[in-house]
Amino acid sequence: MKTDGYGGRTLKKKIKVLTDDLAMPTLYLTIQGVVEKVVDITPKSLVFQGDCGTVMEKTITIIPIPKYPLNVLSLKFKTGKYMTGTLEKTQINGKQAYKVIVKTKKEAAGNFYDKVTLKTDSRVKPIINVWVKVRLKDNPVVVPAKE
Amino acid sequence: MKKLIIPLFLSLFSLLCLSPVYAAPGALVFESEYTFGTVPDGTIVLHDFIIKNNKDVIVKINNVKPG
Repeated sequence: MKTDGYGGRTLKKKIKVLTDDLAMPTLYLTIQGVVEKVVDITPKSLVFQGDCGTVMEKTITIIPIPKYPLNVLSLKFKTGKYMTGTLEKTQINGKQAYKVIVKTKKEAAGNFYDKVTLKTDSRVKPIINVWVKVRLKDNPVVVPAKE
Repeated sequence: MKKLIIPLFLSLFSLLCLSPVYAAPGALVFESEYTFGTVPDGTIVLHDFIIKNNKDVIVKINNVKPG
């Protein structure tokens, strides 16, 4: 069972087993436990909303949990068609942190999706994924009023 | 009397042969819950759930649906 994305929560999954046993046609198997956070990612996903033609910018902050130290090595977009990004090493409250600055590219109106993939040197969390959604509206056409 | 008993026995025997065999109640013994404790995010948790058939009847597992 994958625990990706469940950091800081209790994970509980039920497995349904169907048999031809009349006394026990359905069995439920439960697997559960606590999943610890390895990094603090704020926000967990990015949403850009605006008019097409405008460039928008947002920042993702990544703070490793001291119990699981890690370095972010590189940044990559799944498509890279709709946005660009930069990775910066920084300090937040004396803790090592990373900032990912994501900028949208000028695009036509519509909904676009991409994924930021950050490679780390952690054996526990070698990849950090952040989903990005861009929603661009058409620019309103200004019609001069008739006199 | 003998003439009656033999056909009766044969018909009962054939009825028993034709009827389907179902798994006996309470044939399955299994561990229903597994707690993996505390793991860091990103860990893949592996566990074997063993379902034991305690009777002499075959029990089929038709499907397994992970939740």
